[in-house]
Amino acid sequence: MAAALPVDATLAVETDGSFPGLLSAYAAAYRHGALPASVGRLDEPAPGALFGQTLPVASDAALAGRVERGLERVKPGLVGRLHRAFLSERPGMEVTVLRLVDAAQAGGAVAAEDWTFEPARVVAQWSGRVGREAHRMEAFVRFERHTDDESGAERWAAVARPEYHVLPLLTEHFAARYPTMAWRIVDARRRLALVHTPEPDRQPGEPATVIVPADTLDLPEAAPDEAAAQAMWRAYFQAVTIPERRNLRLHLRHVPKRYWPYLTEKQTGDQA
Amino acid sequence: MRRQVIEKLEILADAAKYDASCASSGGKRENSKTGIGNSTGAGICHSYTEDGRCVSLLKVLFSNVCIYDCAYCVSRRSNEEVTRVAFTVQEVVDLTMDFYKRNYIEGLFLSSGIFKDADTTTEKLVAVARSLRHDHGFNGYIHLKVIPGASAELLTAAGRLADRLSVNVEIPSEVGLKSVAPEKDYAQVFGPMATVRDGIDEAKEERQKDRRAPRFAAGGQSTQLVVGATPESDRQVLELVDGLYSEQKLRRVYYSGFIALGGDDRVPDPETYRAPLHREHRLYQADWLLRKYGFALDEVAPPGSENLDDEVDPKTAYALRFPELFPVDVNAAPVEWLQRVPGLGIRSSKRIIAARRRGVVRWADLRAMGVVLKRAQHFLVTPDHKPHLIGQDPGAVRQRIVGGRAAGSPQLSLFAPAPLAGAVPGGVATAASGAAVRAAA
Repeated sequence: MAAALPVDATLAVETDGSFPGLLSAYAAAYRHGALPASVGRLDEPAPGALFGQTLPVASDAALAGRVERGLERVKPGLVGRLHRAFLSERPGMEVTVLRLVDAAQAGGAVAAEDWTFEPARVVAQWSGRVGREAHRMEAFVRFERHTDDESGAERWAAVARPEYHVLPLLTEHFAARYPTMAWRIVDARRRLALVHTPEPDRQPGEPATVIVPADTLDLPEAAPDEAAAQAMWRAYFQAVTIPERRNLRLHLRHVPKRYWPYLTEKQTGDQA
Repeated sequence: MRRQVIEKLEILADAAKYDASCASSGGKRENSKTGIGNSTGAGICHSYTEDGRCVSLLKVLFSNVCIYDCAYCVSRRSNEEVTRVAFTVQEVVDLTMDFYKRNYIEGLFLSSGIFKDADTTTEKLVAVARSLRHDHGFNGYIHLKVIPGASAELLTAAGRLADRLSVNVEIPSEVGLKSVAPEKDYAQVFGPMATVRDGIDEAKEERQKDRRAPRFAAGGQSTQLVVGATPESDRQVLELVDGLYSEQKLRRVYYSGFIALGGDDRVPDPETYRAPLHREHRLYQADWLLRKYGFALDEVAPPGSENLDDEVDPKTAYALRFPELFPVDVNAAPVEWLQRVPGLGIRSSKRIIAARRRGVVRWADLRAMGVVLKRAQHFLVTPDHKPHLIGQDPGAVRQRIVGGRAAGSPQLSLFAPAPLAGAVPGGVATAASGAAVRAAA
């Protein structure tokens, strides 16, 4: 293992904004012999680019894959952690990710687990927050059934407003759970949708789930029995509360208000 | 028709809500390409009631008609306040599928009043599970309640279909049980519990030899104890629990602070009785120490003691009983010892160990690692923090930790059971299990 790279305060890299792009940037920085002080986007020239040196990096899947495999050898699960931290979309997170990748490369697994080392702690904490938000989305996403009058085809649609860009983290969970359903989850904050197409309706070679701009999608009417199913759920939710134990503070800690607009059980159901 | 089902749902969900278990964890069940649902092993709480309890499963009774007359139970035969209804198998199956497809639930937790005899009742529960698994390709979570007295054949059928089976002990002593449930005794409870345990053990062994061997309640077995309805002490409760974990190999014991609804002289009167939610919370903390932190029963609840300390959590109480064992050196103690320090949890202990490999851990590092300094400060040594009070005056340490809070004032916010065990991929503990770890820390 090589020694850790120095940070070059005058160096900036530009990537396509993807996670593989960032891992490709690490490979480029490694070849260059220094870590950048900032990471920008190829399509958005940075204002400070005049002064230092800018290294444009094309996303290279093979190269990113090699970096990933190297990291997984050092510490299984580390790539996932870095990816989740990256999806927090926090300013400066790219540099933190690069620093931890480098420290793991140079110092092994102990560096990645050392909370007294700032990049390790920051990545672990943000990975935790993003992972928690993804887990909450697995819990709080509510599908509605929509049916096409003509073809009778079913669509299951959900809208959510996650704090972080967690749609990529939801793919595996929902695809494994509902493989035969045509479902989609719209991220209303980012105007993106995770769309799943069940196998019989897919073209050969087409991926089962894709992330697309939400505005490109259309949706048939809600199914006739949808309102009744939602009313049933609300009735259940009301019935299981134990009034003697009511504890709204605890309730709010588990279900913060920002999730309420998208939770079936929190709607009045007047429209039903 | 719809209206009828919604009314049944209201009644039979209301009757099932006193069962504290809602876990959808423990059993990992993969979906097929054409099926629906899976269980991930970690469990998911899809919502929370206004009392802060996890809603993970559709938890209902099949029927609230019951031939038994247990004083603590709302569905008891002599209770004339409730409307008696029963679902059909198809209705429960449809509700489960309708809710599951909308991502409202992880699966079904089905229990029932004993409307005729144990076997007739169990047959219905098994029929629901069978229809879900076989007619609908349902691979979500199924928890079935074992009806005391059910035959071994039916238990086997139930175990093959379900992810978890449970039989509730309910009352923490047999004398207590008989005083409130004249038709019940411990043999009826522990008989099926042992059958299920043996079934689980056997299936585990078979599956080690052959991965295709049938599963049997892979999520394990759990039970519930009602506290407050009868006069058992915490020590008595935990003695029983310790045996349930070691001998019956239960995955989980749930505690349910008895809520008096009135109308039966055999249990406390709601006029003068307050549900022991604080006590329930302390029992969960003690349970956590037994299960996850390697504490022995006598360390948590000393022989001859009555109830747990209500001013401080059981781990702090332990540290105050054995002040000579503290303070502990952050940079030298083994992980088992760090976990015994009040304010340290399993995760923060592991973080300390990891940080130690690269250098010296200082006081300022601990907060970022998630250590609860308010408690831990008296019990931990770093090069720049050397507490002396615990060696001189443990009583003063207690005072500082309890602070201005009046003795016994309820701290209810964490009473809810941790619904999830385990973690989401990547080792990020879920919010709910994190809360429980903190509760025990």
